[in-house]
Amino acid sequence: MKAMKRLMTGVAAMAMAASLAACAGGTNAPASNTTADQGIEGTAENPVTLNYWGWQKGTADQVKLFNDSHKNVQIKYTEVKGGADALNGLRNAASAGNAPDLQQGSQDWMVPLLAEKVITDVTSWITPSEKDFRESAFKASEVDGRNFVVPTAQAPQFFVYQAPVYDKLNLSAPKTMDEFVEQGATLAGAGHKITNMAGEDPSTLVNWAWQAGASWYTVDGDAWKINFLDDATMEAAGVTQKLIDEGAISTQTFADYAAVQQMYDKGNTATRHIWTWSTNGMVNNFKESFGNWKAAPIPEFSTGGKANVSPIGGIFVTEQSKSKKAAAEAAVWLATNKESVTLAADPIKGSSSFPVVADSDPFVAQLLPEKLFGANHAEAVKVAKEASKNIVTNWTYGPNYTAMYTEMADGWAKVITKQQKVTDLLEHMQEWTVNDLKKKGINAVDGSK
Amino acid sequence: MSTTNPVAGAAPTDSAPQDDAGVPVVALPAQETSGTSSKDKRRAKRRESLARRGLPVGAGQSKTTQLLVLAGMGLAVIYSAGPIWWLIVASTKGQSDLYASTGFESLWFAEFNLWENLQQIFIYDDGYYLRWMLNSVLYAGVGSFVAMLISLAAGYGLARYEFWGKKAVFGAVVASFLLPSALLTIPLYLQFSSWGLVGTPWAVLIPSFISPFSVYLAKVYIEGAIPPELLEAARIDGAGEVRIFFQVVMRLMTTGAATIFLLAFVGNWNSFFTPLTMLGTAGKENWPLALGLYAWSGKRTLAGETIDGTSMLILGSLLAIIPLAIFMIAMQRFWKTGVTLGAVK
Amino acid sequence: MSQSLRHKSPAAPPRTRSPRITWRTLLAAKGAAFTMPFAIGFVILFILPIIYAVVQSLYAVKSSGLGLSGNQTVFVGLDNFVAAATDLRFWESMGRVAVFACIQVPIKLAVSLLLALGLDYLKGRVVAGLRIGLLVPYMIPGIVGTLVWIYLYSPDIGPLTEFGKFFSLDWNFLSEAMMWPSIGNLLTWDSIGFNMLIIYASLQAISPELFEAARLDGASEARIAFSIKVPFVRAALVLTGMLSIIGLLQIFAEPLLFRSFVPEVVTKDYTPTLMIFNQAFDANNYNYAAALSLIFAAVIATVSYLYYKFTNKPEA
Repeated sequence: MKAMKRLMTGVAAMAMAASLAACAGGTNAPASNTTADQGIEGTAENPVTLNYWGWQKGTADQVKLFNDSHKNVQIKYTEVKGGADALNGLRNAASAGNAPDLQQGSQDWMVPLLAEKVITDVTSWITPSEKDFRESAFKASEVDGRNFVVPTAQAPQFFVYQAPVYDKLNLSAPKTMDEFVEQGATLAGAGHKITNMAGEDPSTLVNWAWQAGASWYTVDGDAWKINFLDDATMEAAGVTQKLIDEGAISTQTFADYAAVQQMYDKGNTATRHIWTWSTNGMVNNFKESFGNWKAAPIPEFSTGGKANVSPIGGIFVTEQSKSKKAAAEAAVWLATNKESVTLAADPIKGSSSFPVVADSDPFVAQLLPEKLFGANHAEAVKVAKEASKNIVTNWTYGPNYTAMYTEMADGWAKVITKQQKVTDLLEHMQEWTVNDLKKKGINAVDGSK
Repeated sequence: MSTTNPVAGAAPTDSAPQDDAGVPVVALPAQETSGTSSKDKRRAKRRESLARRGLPVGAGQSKTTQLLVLAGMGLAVIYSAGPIWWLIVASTKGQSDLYASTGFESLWFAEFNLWENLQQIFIYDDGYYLRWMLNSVLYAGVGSFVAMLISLAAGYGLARYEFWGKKAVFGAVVASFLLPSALLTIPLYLQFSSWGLVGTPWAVLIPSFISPFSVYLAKVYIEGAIPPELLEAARIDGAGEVRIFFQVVMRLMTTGAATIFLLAFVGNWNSFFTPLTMLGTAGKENWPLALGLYAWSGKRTLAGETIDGTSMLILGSLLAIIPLAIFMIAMQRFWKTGVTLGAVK
Repeated sequence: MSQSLRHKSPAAPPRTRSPRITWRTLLAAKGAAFTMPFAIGFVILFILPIIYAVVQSLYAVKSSGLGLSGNQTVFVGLDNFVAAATDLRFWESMGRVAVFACIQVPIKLAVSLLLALGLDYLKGRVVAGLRIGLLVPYMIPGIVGTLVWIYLYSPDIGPLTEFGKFFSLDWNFLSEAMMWPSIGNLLTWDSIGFNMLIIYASLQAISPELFEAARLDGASEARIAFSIKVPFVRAALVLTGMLSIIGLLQIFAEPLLFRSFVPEVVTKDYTPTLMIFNQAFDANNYNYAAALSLIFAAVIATVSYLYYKFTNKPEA
């Protein structure tokens, strides 16, 4: 009925739609802060309710924990469709003036949402807790020295492989990417694929470029310097291209998740660069390969060394929130409270998300499913702990990153189906990204020349 | 303009198709053109026609041709209904059988896992499936009912009154058939968004209330079913226009109204673009079935899920057929007598 | 009521003078009032969105500097249209659906017509059964039909790939080359039953005497079908064809679903509507999406006009 009432006022407004249309996209007056924001300490007379949108498993229970332990601030959690849909959902809500106070999201949203004035600066509320966060995660939440997201999860990568396949072919975990490529050829000769690259998902290329030390977006004075063609990216591209050319990869789409998992399970695809949260899906879909999996550090590129790459996941506080301080502090609580973190890290009740707390080691053993690794579990735990300490933060997501990624995904499909080379794609992305930024009125320089 | 009366059970009419100024032929349905509703008469007629065909006149009606045509039609039926057989079989399988039985095996049952699948579908994805089905029924039902009322009124106004702007309204109705839905839906989405309607049931209900196609059908139908003389007579008897509409027009229009409702219902049930735009990024609780199934089909990471998505999607698809099938079978009478109005569709 | 029918008053011929005028005007107003709910809804849901789209297409969202200090909407004149005119992907997607519509619609109509003629030829008891069988796809929600066919096509769990091997055909329905035939088959499957029913109903309206005379003259059944029956249902075919083409040019849900299974084949700009949708909701460029959809609407209107021109030739 409330909606109906809104509609009625809307109908009246519609008469002026044409003239108003011009500014419909632009102005969202920041909600005035009428009541003093007391933070999560709050006051009994002035209880605050925060709206929180997210999608991850276990988040609802984390919220419950929070609500049970806080009197003056309560969180109302709404589950939304995850990923890009959640991003668009937030944008829509923001343009309609009913954004939630808190939004679950990932690091690549940060600069675009900042540019759109959807999210707010949380520096002053998160800084007191800086020591509770792992340094790399805290740094990743910054743009230009200010924090715009409360980190809740990282995704340190490691390498897993089917030990029986490797043993049969007398291979051991690759130390370098060159070795990885060689193994690709060996495995292909024996009827196995070394890894899976889905046509819709260029993340492998992104991660490898990042790992090799590339930075596609860098701030250079008052302009973005764009470079998709530096040496590091080229090395990653070379590796990717070789694997594709040699037919060393499977190309099963993640959309048919069960089919992907079946390939791993059967050893058709024998290795995977993996994050903790993906081990869960393996456990749930596997039938025969339990205990066969071994973990090792990700193979190194000639540059970058042991660098491990991980975007952060986090909670944004919106510009429209009327209780920004309380919202930010609640987010910090959710990200650092021991019980809350345990819940998010739980493989069954939560989503195996890797904590961003200063000392995450105690959580790692339970994060990794014992069933998957069997006797190799202890070693896997060691590998994951190590990986989390090597995370580098030299990667910046530019203001059009999400659109860039969609564009890249389309071209990536053509790379996987061998209609174009990885370098063709990167050259296209170089041009596209510079043009797209300029079209949006953002200063951009071509850093590849 | 002919004043034939296509209302079910009415007196037999001539078989002349109505031809409405430039609007292509709207054929009258077979049942009505072929005689009275009396069973005996129809049988007699059929016997007569069979006898007629038995006569040595028709050189073409040979046994072989008949068998050939029958075989061709049989193949077409297999083509039409076969996929549903696969769906039924597949929904009784567990995930491993689903992937293990390819090719010809996929057309026959393996281990019977339907009950387990059924139990799972009501808890999978937090048990939203049932909710989505109810939403679909609600959106299609309410949306089509309101659209039917609005369309009948508009069609009646257009068919039986003269007023300034009438041509413009009807022209707009026909022209709107040409408009791409993307052109309308995206700006509408932005408007609804600023009114706070996006994500609420209203965002899909309101657009479904206004259906130019239904108005067109209503106009054509009323021109056939409601003789102007009848209205004049009612007026002379002192009935007000509103009373005439509800007591005379609506009564004579039962079949027409049901047909309009039926076609609108099917259209709304199948609707995808509008719900996707209006509800896709909002909470799952307001989704219709189509969106839920779409979400399941694109599910990438089932972090923490212990139920396989593929078999849920397959069973979900099968169950999604049931309400529409029931509805169509229940509405069969109108569907048979009235749906040829859809000839214009 | 039948009573009131009988004393049909002679006092109400149209255009009676003077005292009647006010009564007529009043009646007109009442008639217009019946169309009011629809007309108001139409303005809100059809007219205003178009105006809104036109206005939007003349603006663009611009940022400045590093793009971190918020956006502004500025007037850019026809910039969006100029960009669209040279946007190869948009025209490629348009070409794709145009070619597709030119092939799929005639096939679909031909199959539907043949089925209707077959049904008409058989008559008798078998017709009801056949008709129900052929109408099965119409009872299947669109998205379900698409999903079912995707699974039938799937090499992982569907039977069709294996069938191909049986006839030593190595086909992959989800490959790039097969994508349109695969979607075309799905749409044909989905609509032949319903189209057949419409054509069949038109056939029933033909007076049997027409055939009797032809039969007596010794015309074959095939001859009767093509010289008498087909011309009779031409109007129905033409209109169905037109609405099918308009629908096909806008094809969206099917490619979108295929996209979630084979994203490497069905790209985000595969069809015009898909591209417009992605511009609006993925790239968040509503202004450009508005320009694209206006151009698209113009193209559809042109196509419809041409189609109308070609099919409405006065018959010799």
